[in-house]
Amino acid sequence: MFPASFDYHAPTTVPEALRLLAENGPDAKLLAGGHSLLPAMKLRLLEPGCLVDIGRIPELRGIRREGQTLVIGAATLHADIATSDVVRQAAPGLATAASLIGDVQVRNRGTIGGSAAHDDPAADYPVILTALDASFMLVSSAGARTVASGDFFLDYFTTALSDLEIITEVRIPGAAASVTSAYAKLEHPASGFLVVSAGVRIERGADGRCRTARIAIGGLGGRPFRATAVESALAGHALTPAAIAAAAALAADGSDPDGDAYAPAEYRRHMATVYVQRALEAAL
Amino acid sequence: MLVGRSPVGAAVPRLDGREKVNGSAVYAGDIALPDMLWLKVLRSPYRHARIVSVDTTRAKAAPGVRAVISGKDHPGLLTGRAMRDMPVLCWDKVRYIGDRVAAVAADTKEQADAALELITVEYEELPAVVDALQAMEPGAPLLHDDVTQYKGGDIKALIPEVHNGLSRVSFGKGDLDAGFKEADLTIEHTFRVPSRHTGYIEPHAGVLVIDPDGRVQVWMSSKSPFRARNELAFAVNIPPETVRFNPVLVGGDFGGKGDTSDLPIAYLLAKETGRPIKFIKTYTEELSAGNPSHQSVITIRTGLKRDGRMVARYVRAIHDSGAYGAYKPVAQVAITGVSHGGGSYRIDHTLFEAIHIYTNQVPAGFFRAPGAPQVLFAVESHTDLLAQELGMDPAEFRRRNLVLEGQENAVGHKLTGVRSTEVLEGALAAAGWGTPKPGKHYGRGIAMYDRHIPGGVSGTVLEAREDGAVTILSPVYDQGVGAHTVLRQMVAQELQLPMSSVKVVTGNTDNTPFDPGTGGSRGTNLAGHAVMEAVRLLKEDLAKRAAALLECPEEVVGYSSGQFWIREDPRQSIGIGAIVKRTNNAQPIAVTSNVDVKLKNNITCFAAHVAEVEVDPETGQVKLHRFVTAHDVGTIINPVTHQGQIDGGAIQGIGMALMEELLIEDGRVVTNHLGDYKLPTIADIPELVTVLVDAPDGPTPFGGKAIGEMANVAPAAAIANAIYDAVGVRLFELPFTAERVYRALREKEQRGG
Repeated sequence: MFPASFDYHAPTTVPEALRLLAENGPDAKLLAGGHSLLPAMKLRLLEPGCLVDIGRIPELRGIRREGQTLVIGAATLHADIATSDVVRQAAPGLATAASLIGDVQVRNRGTIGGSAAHDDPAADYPVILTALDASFMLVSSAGARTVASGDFFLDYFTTALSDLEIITEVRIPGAAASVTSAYAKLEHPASGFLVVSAGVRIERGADGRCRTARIAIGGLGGRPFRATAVESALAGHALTPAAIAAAAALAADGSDPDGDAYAPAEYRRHMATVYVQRALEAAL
Repeated sequence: MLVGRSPVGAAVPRLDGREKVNGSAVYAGDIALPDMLWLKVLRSPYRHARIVSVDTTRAKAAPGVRAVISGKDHPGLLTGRAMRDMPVLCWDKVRYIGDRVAAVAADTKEQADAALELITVEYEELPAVVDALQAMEPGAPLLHDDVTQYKGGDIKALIPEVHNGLSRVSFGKGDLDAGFKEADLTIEHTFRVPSRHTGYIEPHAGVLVIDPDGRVQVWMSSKSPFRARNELAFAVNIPPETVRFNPVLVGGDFGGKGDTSDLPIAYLLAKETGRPIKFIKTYTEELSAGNPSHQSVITIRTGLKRDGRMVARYVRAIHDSGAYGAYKPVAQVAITGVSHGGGSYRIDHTLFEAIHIYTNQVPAGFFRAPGAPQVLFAVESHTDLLAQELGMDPAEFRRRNLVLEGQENAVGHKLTGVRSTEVLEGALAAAGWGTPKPGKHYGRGIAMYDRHIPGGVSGTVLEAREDGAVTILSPVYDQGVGAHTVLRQMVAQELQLPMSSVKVVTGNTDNTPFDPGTGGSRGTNLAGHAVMEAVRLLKEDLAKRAAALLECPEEVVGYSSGQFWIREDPRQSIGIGAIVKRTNNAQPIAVTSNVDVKLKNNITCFAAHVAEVEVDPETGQVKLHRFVTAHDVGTIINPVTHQGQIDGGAIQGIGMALMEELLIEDGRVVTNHLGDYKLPTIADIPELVTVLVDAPDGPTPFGGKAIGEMANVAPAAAIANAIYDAVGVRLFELPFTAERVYRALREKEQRGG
């Protein structure tokens, strides 16, 4: 079906975009890559009266390092993140996650900010960004604020982003030689969305042991599930295959996923242990 | 033997390829007529309910709406491809989620959609049954009061004595009880197969207009225009001759494109508004209210001798027909795949029966070799289980039981031209059967299948033209199989003309003779014999005219390469074009053939597959690495289209094995878009290896055999057998999703296996 009719604006600066959002009120919706919004509009699940296209704002695009922080513009494409040497070096798990999203066409249009704001529970970015302890720079006409991923992804399709805010940047700390990350995913064969996935970030001490681990799992609920039992089991320990396997076995502890016909809850819980182990192995 | 540059056997590109690739091909959805209205259908949200009232007042007043009708306005109209048991619009009760209740015609699609929401239907919900086995229990909710009240069905096949029973067909021979007594051991298994959608990319679409003189003109995505014409006429009580189906291309079929879809409703709305009516189903409608394959529960019991011989077999397939039998285009209202209950083996005492049961679910229809993929999954999985019971290699077990030249198969047909052994050995050799596997958790599995080459009636028009070319005016609507391409090759071959001198034009249902439509692996056989007969008639007609022009007796007129000549004096000759100019005022000279091609049950085609899989024991994911398919083929008329049928069939079979499942929860289809319903794409397909065992003695013109339904039937069993070989778990239910394999692995672990 065609979407219901709507007004379309393509601002070229963030202040202009914020002004359009404020003027049009709740009737306005931000458009970036459009890969979630436009299908919903075609199905008439959403009928916004006005689209503010932020995909053409140059300052929202780009990948750079600021010391030990990796900074990615919110309108940066999945394909650019997947193939960026800077990302591969600073946060390899993020590059892997980006490379596993949808298909080539989707990766060439979809944006990291759009995917984070949509917060599909089967999307890849919320999982890896939670594992990487990323934070989001949110800007409104009232000012800017920074929200950590743990406070940003709240529930199914629900984030801390307000109607009058724009995500401008995603900031990922810890771009250092001692930190590594990885992402592993069990895909739904039809949609390519995750059934279960795991993002891991490991910081090692000078002795090679794990200093801290951050582990997030997708597919176990409305928001990325922090596998704190695995994190504690790894912290301070040598990362031997046996230690990894023992820790990964705890991946689903404390989770209570909803199952569906393709992947019942019990299968999801077991896959969490398998994919946490695979992500840990890939990280090392 | 055909050699050199002869048209038959040449790798000629598809006739319809260019227009499909450049986008100029015209499908039903492309047809637009002045003042045309859009049709949208309101469907039942209940599995089973009585319709208390329908209020269309608000919908009629909505913007752009020109007509709104419901079953209350047109009670009693029934439709079906053979037996007519499905309401055009339900008037007293609905029997599945998706049953048609009311319809709107509006200026735009969006207006029609919006108006549907303004129709108020009051329902009184009834108890429902969504499982075929439960539906057979005496206390289960009853869908139809009396199946024998419906027209178009074969009374001998209907089973009013079974609760919610629709029909039963059976095959077999010998004395089953005696056979089982003779057996050293008896082994039984039950297999389950879910419903699948055929997965054509073009949804059902149609345009219908009633001309001022009462003529009903139709453009419709149907591969079976003559039958669909009759079905429309019967549904709305008009004479079939008043309806004309006009040619459009069909964007895929696989058995699912022979029905009339929403056409009878379009007729009612055209009648009411006096305007052309168009519909295009959404893919959600296709998946949730179309005609998917039958869900089946198949029980198979074999009596076995210790030496590996099979002596008796009973197969019972319970097919869930859903709410209606209307999508089955045969009077038996059945899918007859159970006739393959014996596989490609000799078994002396057999009974194979298929029982079709009504349930409150989406009505099921035909899907490429109807019933056979379900039954062969059971049969060839069971074959491996029997071999396993005897501790025998699955290939060796098959060798001992294969039906061979001159022997009877398990349903009593004595076969000739049998190449079962060559096909099996060809597949085994290409797959490296018995050689070391590439890695841990790899497995190989075999499955076989064979089927006859159907007959039936067909015909065609063939015209000679003033430019010396000929035109096939074909009743066959090529739904993508390449039918027109091979017919053109046959005519070029037979008339010794260059391919460029043979045109193919799709006719309409007025200017061509009846043809049943491509399907059942019969297209090349039926339409092929129809064009060959037309060539004979045309040559006869032209030879008479040539004799008159050459002033000689007809008997001395010879023919080659477009020229008629006097045998004793070849310098005196005349070409096809000149004959047309001089004897028919340059108007085309046309002949019409009508053929009745006899079914030859003694000739079959064999196929053998070997799958090689790798199973991830932690996740249950199955990776198919290689798929070998060997076929017993006759003369290959066109190697391009022939290979297309093999590859496409294999991919469809692989999809059935590993991913395709129409998930139905409490009667509601939940995989209702292609992001949830997984169809295989090329990324899911490994190396496909084809082995051809050829001998040009098939029954089609030039000695061809069938290929359309040879590669899609047995892959599921080959893959099931390979999974067992890889990780030791036996799967009794399709498809082999990661979770299902994982669960089987855990169960095996718990058993301590």
